[in-house]
Amino acid sequence: MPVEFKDYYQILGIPRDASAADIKKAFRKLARKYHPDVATDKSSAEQKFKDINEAYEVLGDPQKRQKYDQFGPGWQADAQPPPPYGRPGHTSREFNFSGTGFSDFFEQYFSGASRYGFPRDIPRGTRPARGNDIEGDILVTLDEAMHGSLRSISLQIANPQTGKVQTHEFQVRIPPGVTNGKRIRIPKQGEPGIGGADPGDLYLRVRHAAHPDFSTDGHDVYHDLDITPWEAVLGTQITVPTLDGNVTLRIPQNSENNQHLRVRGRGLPKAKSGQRGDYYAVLNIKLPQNPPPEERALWEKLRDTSTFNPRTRSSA
Amino acid sequence: MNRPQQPDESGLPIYEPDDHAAYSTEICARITGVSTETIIRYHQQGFIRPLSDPDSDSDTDTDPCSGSEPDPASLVFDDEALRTVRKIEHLRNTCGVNESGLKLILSLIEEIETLRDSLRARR
Repeated sequence: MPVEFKDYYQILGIPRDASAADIKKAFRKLARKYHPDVATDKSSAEQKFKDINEAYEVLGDPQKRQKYDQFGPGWQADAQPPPPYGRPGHTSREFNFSGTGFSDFFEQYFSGASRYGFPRDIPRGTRPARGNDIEGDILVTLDEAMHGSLRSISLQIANPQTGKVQTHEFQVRIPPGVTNGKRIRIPKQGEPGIGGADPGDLYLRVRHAAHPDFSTDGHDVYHDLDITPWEAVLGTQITVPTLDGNVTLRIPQNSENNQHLRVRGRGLPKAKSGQRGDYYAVLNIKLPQNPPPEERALWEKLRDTSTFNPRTRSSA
Repeated sequence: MNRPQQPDESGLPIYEPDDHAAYSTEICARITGVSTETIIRYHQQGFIRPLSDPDSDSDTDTDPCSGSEPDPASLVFDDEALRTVRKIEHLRNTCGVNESGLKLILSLIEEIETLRDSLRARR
């Protein structure tokens, strides 16, 4: 079952020698454009958003990028076909997902999918043995993590005894507040058992889709907020986006770079408790690049007037 | 317990994860295909942690000062414990890992997963 090659560099519109910073910049720009929450054509944007996320999942990770780059431009001509399904005793993956938000190409080469269970080297048919458990990733947007969703999953899996490929189709409810890394157990949807024993289980590990504005840690949501040096020193009020609408944030005087400003209860919901995680705006003080002459004059005036010296050590 | 619900109009069964799924030692043993004694042993060795007793005021499972340990058969476990048991059995049966090795491997796997998640979050 050959898989279609994905040109992740083309998807992000960057050259093969792009730096990590360029990759991040390209991802953010495209993710903002095609994010399902803001795009006008939501159906085509959704697929595009998944492609962009997948490309960033690979190219944004140095190890995965190195592996991807080894395929080379002639990948399609030189590629070995993926291992066939249904070869009993074959040690490679003998299953394939769809509906997880990742392409077959990603699933084949970059997914964290694995299986484990009891040994298969026992003589077949001699005694019943439960099927292996299977683990795979499922891409969940932050909007889904906020509100929950219903996802259709299709799992093609080879019967270890007969070699016959079976397709399991089912739906999984993604619960509101699901955190990154959370594993969802789907009972008896893993590898078929031997000799009438139960199938193994399927574990889907939630991977939050990268978002142009937000990241998560548990139920807390983080937003990088760029501010000017004078906003940091003098304080101000800024309207910032959250996962459910804007909030106005007061930036206190004398704020520092990387300072976290918390908004309670504006993170992801926490299961059935009704509580929510917190929202953090992480201040990032940006400096003007090549300011025009009149602004440069002001900086020079500040330099000549200010008594501030960050290299002065306290004698206390 | 995570159980399939009635199919919707698509005809496909719907699985709904239950964050509060809890399995007794006996059910845990049945699902993972090992004996209850094995589950208890894994608990005693610290491989799996039971859910805290909702009737207890304490967050911990046992109070070393009280001298009264809960009856192992009354312990309850979550989905992660089931996964850990299956993983341990896999390591023992296919790789011949002993219990000291298991502790090392499981802690390394956990650490690697944490570090990978942390790296991914920083990107």
